[in-house]
Amino acid sequence: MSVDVSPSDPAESVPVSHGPTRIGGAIALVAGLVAVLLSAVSLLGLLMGVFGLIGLAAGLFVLGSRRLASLGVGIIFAGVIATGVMGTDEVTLVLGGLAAIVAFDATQNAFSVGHQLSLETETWRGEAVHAAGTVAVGVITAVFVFAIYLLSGGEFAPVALLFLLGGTVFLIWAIRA
Amino acid sequence: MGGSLGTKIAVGGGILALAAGVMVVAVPDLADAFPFGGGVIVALGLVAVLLGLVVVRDRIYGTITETRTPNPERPPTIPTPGDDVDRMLREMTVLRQGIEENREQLHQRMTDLGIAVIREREDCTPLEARQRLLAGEWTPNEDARAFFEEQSEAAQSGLTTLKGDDRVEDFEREFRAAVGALVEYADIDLDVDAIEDENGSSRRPRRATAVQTNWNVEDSSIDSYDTSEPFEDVSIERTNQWLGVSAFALVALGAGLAVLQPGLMLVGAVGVGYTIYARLDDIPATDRLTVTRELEEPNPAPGEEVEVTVRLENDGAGFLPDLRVIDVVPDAFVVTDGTPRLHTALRDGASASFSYTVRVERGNYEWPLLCLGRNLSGSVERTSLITPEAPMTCVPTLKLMHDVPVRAQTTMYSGDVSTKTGGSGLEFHSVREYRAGDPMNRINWKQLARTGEMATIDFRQERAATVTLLFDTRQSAYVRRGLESPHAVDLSVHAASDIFGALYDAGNLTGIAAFDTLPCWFPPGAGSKHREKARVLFAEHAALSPRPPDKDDLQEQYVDPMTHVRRRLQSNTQIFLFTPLVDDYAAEVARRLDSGGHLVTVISPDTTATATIGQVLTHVERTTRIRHLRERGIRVLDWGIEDSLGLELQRAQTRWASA
Repeated sequence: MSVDVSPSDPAESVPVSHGPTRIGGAIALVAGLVAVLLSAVSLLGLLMGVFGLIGLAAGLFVLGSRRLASLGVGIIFAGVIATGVMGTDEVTLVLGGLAAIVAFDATQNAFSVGHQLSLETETWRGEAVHAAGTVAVGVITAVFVFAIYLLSGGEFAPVALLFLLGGTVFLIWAIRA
Repeated sequence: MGGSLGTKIAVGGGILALAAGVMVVAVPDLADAFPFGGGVIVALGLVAVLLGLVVVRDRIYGTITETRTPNPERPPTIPTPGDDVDRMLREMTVLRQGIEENREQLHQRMTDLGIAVIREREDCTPLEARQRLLAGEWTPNEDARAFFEEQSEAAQSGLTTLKGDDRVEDFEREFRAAVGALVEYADIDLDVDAIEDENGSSRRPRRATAVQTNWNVEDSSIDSYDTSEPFEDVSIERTNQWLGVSAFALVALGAGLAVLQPGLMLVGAVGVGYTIYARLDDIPATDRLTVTRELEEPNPAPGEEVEVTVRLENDGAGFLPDLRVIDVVPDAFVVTDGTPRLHTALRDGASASFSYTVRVERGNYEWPLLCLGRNLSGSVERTSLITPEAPMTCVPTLKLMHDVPVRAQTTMYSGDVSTKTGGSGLEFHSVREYRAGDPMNRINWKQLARTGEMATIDFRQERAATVTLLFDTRQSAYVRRGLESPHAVDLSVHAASDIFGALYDAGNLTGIAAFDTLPCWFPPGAGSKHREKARVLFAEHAALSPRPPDKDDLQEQYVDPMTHVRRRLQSNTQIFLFTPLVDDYAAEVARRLDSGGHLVTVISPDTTATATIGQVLTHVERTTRIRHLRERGIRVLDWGIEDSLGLELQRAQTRWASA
């Protein structure tokens, strides 16, 4: 059959759109929510957390702004810190901090995947594996650190603390990306 | 890791401090040797928090380095005739740039058009037409008259007249009025009022007017998609996606120290864990990935929709946690269903696949898969191009669609020249619909010589003619009406490959040529080899490519593109000229060939639209050119691309028979 060239039937190209992926955004939002709930012990922490959560949601689902979403996560984390400063039990804090960092990574990945691939692409597998990795690292580290903390009886001479943590700070500074 | 001196000091100091700390924990008495108080700890804490904020700042100002990927689904950006006029107008009115040059250009163009229109309508000399144009009696519209009068005065006296915002607005208003007036005067059926007003045009988003020749490359951060090997690394980079994570650690640690909250210190420790995670730079072994591409049809015809399935197999590459792949579909193709992309993770031995449907175009293609492999944390990205063994050859089939009216210029093969004084019906074939199952007939030359009779084709033409299908393939001919329409060269080649078949089957000697700096010349001939060569030429010759010529290919245009064609064209050849007629050169070519004694039929796909003022202007210009050519006795088939070519030919047939 010869090709009839009339474009009354033109081939329409499929739509291509870019922005943070839905799945990644959902993971980030859930993690952020967990962090906020865990820091709800103190009022200040709760307020900051809610504020940050709104920013995160807006950045992910309304405006598609990486900056805004990252800022939201930062504020959520600050809320966790604020709660920690006010005083709360260690488990809540660690889990809250962990959730905030997971939210951070999920946000970044959502934007990255959405820009490099498209919103129409099937991405759930790749994103799930990445998120699982991030959570696993956090949990393993938390368990490890907690074990040491509990084993040591929870008491350190200030000097020991100074050296250990001071040394850690130096090292972090050295290896920061 | 260790680079600058500062880093080395930090690492050294850190390890030293840690060692000391461990010693103090192990031997608690040592603590007395260091008379540090709580104050120092708090100070350290605050320092840590500050350092954390520095990292945050780094994050805000830092850049993420990841490969910018192309959007191969989208068709390339090809301009619509009139985009340049819209752009000039917009530059003048919105951007306030290039006011004088654009004004001059637009004015010149309008004047030329006005003169052409008046000449055609009133049948006078160019000079008289110019006078009438300036006199202004041809239109009742004040603004239109003012446009021509005022601007020409300004041009003559050399005064720059458009200083000040008001004058630019006036210019635009008068310009639009002038276009509208010309439309009315030329009696073109078009509702100029329906065109968006001034406000509309300034709100319109900028459209690219430059022809994108290599769309995938321009759109992405990869230099070239032409690869010679099945696997080629483009780059391996740190993405900095985790940039700033150390801020979490530092701020938490610092706060923990400052208020002596162990919980916060633990959070800081978790942050440290992530900082280390982010620094791991294991490179994914994507070179061991096996990619296969399956084409539903490896030899389709142009315009067909083909389903493509790509399969990724992890064959000994270890765990690939983050694979982002994009099939870099060639520019000329359009993806009509599915998505040529996938994001997945493959453990050793696993596989994944994705498929999409693509509308193909003529040519030979072998395209790569863009593979972005990352490690689990996402801190390292390896960009590579993997080309599976799956070539596609898309060649038109040259089937008979309908009969094509051939004019009365014949070859010497017949011996006897058919004259114009012959009766009606001498020149033309009858037009009949293509019927599925019609046998493709060849001319039996011996029988023709003996009896003058054709066996199966309803054939009223006495003698065979020599025909050349001539294409306008300059960069300016790559224009299209809208985002979803094919461009003029594609339309022309599609139509011509069908016409070639019809002409060939009717026994005419048919050849192909194109005028552009990329010359194309295929002399008229006959025989099955000739036909096969023609088929391949339509698919593969660079001049007839569905992609516009690269800017690099264009040489300085001192050489007239028609030179090589003119040199070889034999005097008795008929020409079918395919051109969108969006500039004067192509019309000039038609005129000159006609004066040179060739019979010319112009087949012009109408790629003009009428949504903006620039488009209307080019529409009027084109219509005027067509009328002018017809006045000179040159046949022009104004092919409104909504209709099929067969229909247009039928209509034209009637028109030409009575002419």
